[in-house]
Amino acid sequence: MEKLNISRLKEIVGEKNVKDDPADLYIYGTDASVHQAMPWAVVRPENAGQVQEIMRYANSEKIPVIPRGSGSGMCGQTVPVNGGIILDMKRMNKILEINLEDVYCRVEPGVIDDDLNKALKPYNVFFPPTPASSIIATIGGEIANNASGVRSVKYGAARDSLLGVKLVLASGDMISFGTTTRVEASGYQIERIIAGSEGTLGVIVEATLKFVPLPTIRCLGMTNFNKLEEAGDSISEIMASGCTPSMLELVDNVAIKAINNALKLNLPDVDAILIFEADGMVKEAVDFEITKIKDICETHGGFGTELSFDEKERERIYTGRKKLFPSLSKYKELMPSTSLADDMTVPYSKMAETTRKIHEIAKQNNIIMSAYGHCGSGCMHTKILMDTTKSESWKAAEKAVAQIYEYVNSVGGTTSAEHGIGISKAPAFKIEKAASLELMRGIKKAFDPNNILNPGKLQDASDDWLNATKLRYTVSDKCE
Amino acid sequence: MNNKNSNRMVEISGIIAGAIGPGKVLTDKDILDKYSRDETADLSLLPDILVRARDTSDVSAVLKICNDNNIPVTPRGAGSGVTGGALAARGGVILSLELLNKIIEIDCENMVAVVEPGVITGDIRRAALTMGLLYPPDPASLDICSIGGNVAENAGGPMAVKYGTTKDYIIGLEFVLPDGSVITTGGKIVKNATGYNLIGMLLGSEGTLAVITKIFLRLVPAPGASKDILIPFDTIDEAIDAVGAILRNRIVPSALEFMEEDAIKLVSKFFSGNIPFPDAGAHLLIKIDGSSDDSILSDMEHISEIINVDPEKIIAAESDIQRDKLWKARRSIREAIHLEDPAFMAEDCVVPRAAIPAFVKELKKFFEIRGLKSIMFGHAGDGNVHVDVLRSGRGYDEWKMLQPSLKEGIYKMAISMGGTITGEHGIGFSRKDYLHLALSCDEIELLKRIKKAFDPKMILNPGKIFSDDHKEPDDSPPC
Repeated sequence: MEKLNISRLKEIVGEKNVKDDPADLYIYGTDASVHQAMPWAVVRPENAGQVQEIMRYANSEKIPVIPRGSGSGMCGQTVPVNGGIILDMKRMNKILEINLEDVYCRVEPGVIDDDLNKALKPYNVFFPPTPASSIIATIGGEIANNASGVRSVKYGAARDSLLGVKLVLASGDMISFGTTTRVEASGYQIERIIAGSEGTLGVIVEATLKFVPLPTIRCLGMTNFNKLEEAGDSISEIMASGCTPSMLELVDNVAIKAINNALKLNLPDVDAILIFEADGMVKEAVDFEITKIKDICETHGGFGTELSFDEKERERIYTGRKKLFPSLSKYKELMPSTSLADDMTVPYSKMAETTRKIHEIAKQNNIIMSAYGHCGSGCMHTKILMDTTKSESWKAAEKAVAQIYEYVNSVGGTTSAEHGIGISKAPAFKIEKAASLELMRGIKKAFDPNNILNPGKLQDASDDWLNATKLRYTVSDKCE
Repeated sequence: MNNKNSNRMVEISGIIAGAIGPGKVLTDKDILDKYSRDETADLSLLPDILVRARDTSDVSAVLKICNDNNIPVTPRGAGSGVTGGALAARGGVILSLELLNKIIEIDCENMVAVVEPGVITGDIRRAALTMGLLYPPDPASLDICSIGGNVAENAGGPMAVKYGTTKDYIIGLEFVLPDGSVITTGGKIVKNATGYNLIGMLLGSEGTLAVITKIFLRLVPAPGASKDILIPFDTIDEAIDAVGAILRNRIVPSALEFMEEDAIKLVSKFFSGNIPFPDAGAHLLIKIDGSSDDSILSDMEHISEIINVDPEKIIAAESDIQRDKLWKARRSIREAIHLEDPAFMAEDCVVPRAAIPAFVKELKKFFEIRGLKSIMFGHAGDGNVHVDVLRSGRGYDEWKMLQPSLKEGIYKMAISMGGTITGEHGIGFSRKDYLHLALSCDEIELLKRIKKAFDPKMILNPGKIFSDDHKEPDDSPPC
């Protein structure tokens, strides 16, 4: 910290855009994960030129720089494990161009997802990756984590909507890759590795994104299942049936109970619920798909199906799923939901089995875990509900996390579907990618020879997430 | 080849034969000669040794031996590339993957195909279709190109406008690094936010980073119905305006192909005038697909409302025979050009879609001034313009001398209009001297450092993409 020259930073971005007050640093030292660490300063650049100057300074002094959007990451991606400068990108929030003729837009990284979609809406188009956190998530963060959400089953993740990036490297050099066009084969596709690189390869200062027509017709459905396996069989059959649902969500019994406790929705206390949506421009086509999905669910034992084209009704049906995330902490008193084993991907034929396995592992370790997710793309989310004040809960969580990813690996899945790796999923990631860690380190070095960009993450993260940083929770019985 | 090199190559082929078996290692002159060419016009680069690998362990063994001995290795699929990507620019070993040609599995439940790199792309398509699934990328060379080559070049095709290119379908790879180590990344899973996207790195890397030995492809439900139409226009401007109107009205066809006047004339000559609308200024070929006939019908009605063409003039096809008739002209362009003169130049630039008419007209002018005939056609929906230039009576040597300035002219025009130098065919050997037109010095340096992270001894497909890959990244002169 002693080597940080605050006045140099103030020269670059102006006095009021540098923060080194402990209260501010504390806020910027955590995100939506369990981790916490103090940065040395927070710097808020306004344009790419300032980012270049900051990087040149930091690179010459070998000071860590951690690019950050809204800090909504779930795994500690922006937690500064080695201190350094937090580069808050939220002031770079301009939508630079919306080009309808060539169907792309150019944005700065600090643009909030919902704001972009608001700007696109008058043209009847939308940017589809939209994670659940779209009200705060920035486009830069979404690209860096290759984020996605409920509609990705039909429209893909951030990487799939990314046409090009402008990037400031650790050296301060600015490069741009990709085009405004759809097809390209000129050299290595750098934009594709930037998506998912978690701020370790460069600072995104501009992104070119494609958008797609906003469907005029949507129909949402919800079906109950007495057995998880019936829901699982329905998922595989729906996906192979020729339907392209715009949403296909699985909600397990733990989540159903939590939603009922929190929102008093009186959802049936069943083993699993599937929520599905079809969208399009032609009523007949949407009808055709939604009926097919409903029929498949009911053949496999789905019952009490609700269906609606009406916007208000659709909102009502979706309420529980929408508020699932905050509801989870209401499952049981003093059992807050922690972001651990928060996401994974398995082949969709394994969704039901994975859910069972998660419950089994939770039981073995005396904790509670909920499983839900975007099952049309094999994405499963869990949360661990536990008494965070007790160190034994954390020990149990540590064991459960390891067991879950061992299972995910054994069925050909991967450690993260859409939340990224950061710190808390790094041990599992390093086991999964053991054969390619050296190659990844080589790639990191090609971009960032001095290892100043978000160091200590991904392949360079600790093998022990529990002790990699302080925890954001107070553990009362911990012997320090 | 001097004697010293020749002895060395005899020694190396002996070591490789000892490791993987003699039947897979070939050095006969006739065979090497065949492998000195691909579909690139007028280019031949002779390898010293041909190895036909049969499995991943063969690939691993060959790479390790060559890496230890600093011998160049050029991976090769079906040899259908048009930029010399699969030719041995610096001699050494051609590592053919033709015999790794198994469709290992088509998993309907997870909608994934697992294939070896030597499988012909069209065979994957057909195998998937029998199960009601579709592998959408459809390069024109579908029936002769291999899937490994498609990944290495990030191949596209007409259906890219709706379904995207190869990059949108690769969800897992097994590949071998130059040191022989085998890495698997991804698998039967669609969503993946797990660290660096190595799949993305290998896509379009043209065999310069690793050798792909197994591919996991995402399949989609085959559309239940489809319909094709051909629309003639008086001018290219009207045709491209119509493309804009279609996309703006939120109709996403699964193909949107255009041909300009000279292309139509040439093909018409090839078929003795027996093609639809031989005198039109431009053709637009549109395919619409969907889950049911209803949705297609509604899209088709919508199209005829928004474009300014006499509905009588639109030809529609629903049966396979009718379809083949409609596509006959578009599919036979290359054959027609070849018949005219096999020594032609083929480029595949990309420009923003709306810039296609200006690009076509400006380029036509550029060639006319030089007394050259050009043929243009391509994927209008994604701005991918194929630019074929005919020799137009020039002598062979003169034609050779002329090409660099023509290429530079074409590329500069594409870039000045906001496009790039290649959409589907890659940089390879024949465009490596022009990469600096598309990328800055800093950008090229970064690519070279990445190349080095994968291939520290620079043995994999040397002499491609970069004009000076034999130099250390940091030694290169500043641009």
